[in-house]
Amino acid sequence: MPASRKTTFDVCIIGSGPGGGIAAYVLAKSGLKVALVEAGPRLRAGVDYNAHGSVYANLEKRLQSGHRQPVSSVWNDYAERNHFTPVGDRPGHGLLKALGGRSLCWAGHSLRFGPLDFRHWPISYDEVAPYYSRAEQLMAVYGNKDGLSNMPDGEFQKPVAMRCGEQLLKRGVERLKARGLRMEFVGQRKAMPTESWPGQRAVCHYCGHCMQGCEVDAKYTSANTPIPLALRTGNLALFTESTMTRILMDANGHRVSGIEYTNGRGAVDKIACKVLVLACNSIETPRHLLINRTREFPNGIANTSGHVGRNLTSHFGLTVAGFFPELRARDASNDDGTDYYHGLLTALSWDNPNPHFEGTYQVQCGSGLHPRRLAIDSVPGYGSGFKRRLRELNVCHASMNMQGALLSSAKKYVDLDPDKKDRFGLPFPRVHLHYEANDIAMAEDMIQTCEQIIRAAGGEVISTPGAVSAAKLQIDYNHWVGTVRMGRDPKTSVLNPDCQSHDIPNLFVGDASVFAAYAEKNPTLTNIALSWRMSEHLIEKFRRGEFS
Amino acid sequence: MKRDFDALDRRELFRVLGAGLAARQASAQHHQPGSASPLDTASYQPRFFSPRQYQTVDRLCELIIPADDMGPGAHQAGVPFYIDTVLHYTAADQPSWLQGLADVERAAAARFGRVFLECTATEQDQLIAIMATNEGKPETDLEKFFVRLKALTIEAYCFSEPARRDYFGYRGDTILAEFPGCTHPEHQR
Repeated sequence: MPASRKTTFDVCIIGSGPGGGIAAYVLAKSGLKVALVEAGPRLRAGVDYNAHGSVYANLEKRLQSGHRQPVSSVWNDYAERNHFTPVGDRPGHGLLKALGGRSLCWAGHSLRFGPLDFRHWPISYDEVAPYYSRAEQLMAVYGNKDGLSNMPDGEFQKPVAMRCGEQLLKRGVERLKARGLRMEFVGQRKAMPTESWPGQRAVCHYCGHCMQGCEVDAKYTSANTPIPLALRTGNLALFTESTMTRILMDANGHRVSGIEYTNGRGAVDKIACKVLVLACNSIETPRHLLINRTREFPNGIANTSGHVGRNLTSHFGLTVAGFFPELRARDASNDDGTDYYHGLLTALSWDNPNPHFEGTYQVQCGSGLHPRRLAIDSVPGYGSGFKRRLRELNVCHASMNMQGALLSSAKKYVDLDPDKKDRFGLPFPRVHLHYEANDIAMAEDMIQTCEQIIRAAGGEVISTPGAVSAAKLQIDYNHWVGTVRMGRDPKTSVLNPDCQSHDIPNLFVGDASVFAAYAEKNPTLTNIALSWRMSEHLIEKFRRGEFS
Repeated sequence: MKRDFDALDRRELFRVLGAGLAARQASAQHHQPGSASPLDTASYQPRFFSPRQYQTVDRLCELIIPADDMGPGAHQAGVPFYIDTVLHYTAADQPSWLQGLADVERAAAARFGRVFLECTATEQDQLIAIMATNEGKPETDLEKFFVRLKALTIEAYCFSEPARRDYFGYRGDTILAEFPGCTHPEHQR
């Protein structure tokens, strides 16, 4: 649809990642006039990123065009750098400015939060379940029907088999379960079609480049599914390479009237809208709310509660690797699959809380020979013995990557850097991360559990962090949530259960910052389901005339 | 449950994505390793290293990953080509490599009174052993150079098609209709 200066959009969405993309689709399909504002350009699958082919043959071209890595990867080639201020224990801030956002480089892991995970939310699992189903069908999620209590089954395409190393870890888990330990080992669930389906994105061909960027668009991204669908309705205007620089308020200062943005040519313009949806991510959304201070909202708009930027949490972890001598004889042929992790250790302390720490973790498990991305490359020595060990470790290993829910506390939050500004003159976000005793205790338990599983499976532990310290923990800088959380009480939350600001009735949030509490599961599927739900509630509010 | 992903959407999605799809699938086919013409690394002329430095790097890499009855070594895999090409485009790393090679020559001259390439195989073995001391916690410049050299050698070796195919037995980076996964009943019990 043509965008003119005079157009007042029904909804303006900032950010085209998993949350923003699905909102654009659901809202545009309903007939609302939608503007989608994305700071980055549109990248073409298979052209702007393509990890297929010979590294040696492509090396010259890659280096010549200024890329630092020999293999094409959306993340390495396009992610933002030097765009925030880290404070404390090495926090990261994943930011990819491109149409589709970080859905271009996500692994596709699509796990439903379970009924127990919603205990501290203002909405229940049953309220979100229908949106999980819609999301899974649109995304094409594969998986097994595992029948687990707190990771409910979804609308799955046929599952993808586990590799040898993952099967051996499952064996270890089964043996420990027989001794009374409570845990489950299941196949991963990911958003890529495994069989011919009505949606007609390409069926996965198991090349394993999912996170580098799926060059045939089999893996679900915002850019390859909801945004094209939204464009076909004629109700979506796309503003790429456009950075929101200000949120505009109406005359009385209590409702949003639009945004100011700078386009790729540096020109400043405005978009007027009846409703604004922020879907920037859990660092950028609170940042923009904090940047926009007004007379009515001196601590940042929508921040009467003072909770904008607080309640920050993410996943963090460590890796333990096992060596399985019995795999020496196996035929190492094609282990690519749907990227590295095909197995998942889960159901740890779901309904029997661990006495030593609060919260839950899961362990993503991968194995197999991927010589272009060696799982094990820290082999000492040189010569024939070294060479043999290099191959053997990669053929015979299985590795276990912890993903634990970071304890949410006053020590973890996002605020503004008083000194550093970006090229638009806007303050950098500061991300504060300090690991605490609870986080350390969880990591210790994970190491113990993983070592136990590897040994029970008949393997030897070849790589383990040993004694845990904050310095060894790795943050998942793409999994931040919680900084603009939903809740029933306007004093302790920023949004109501419809993801609508308590303070500003025409301001909504569509990214994972809305999470009221975290689970060990990957956030994207829940982000998409919640944004879908928010969009439907928004449509209903439009029908009732709340924004006219 | 209402299936929101309705018939209209499916047709729309096919129209939007379907056209590009065939082209991209074809492009993926085209990018299969088997169909790419093999790169001739043997006749490569170095652009960053001098011919002698290039031969020295070639020899050092071969000491780290030698050819043996298990599969090709660094030389056959094309590792020196890879290293020279990377350094040609990575100005920031160039000084440390030139310094490292100079340190190797200094060590060869001090111990054996010859340039590295003219040392005997035994002498070269002794030199690489000195370089590889304290690999986990390198202290001298020579030890630090070894860590750098080895890291890029591994990277180059593992990206090399001859090494992947003829040593690792890797058959991936291709198009499968089904992913077989583990096919061994003994691993599944």
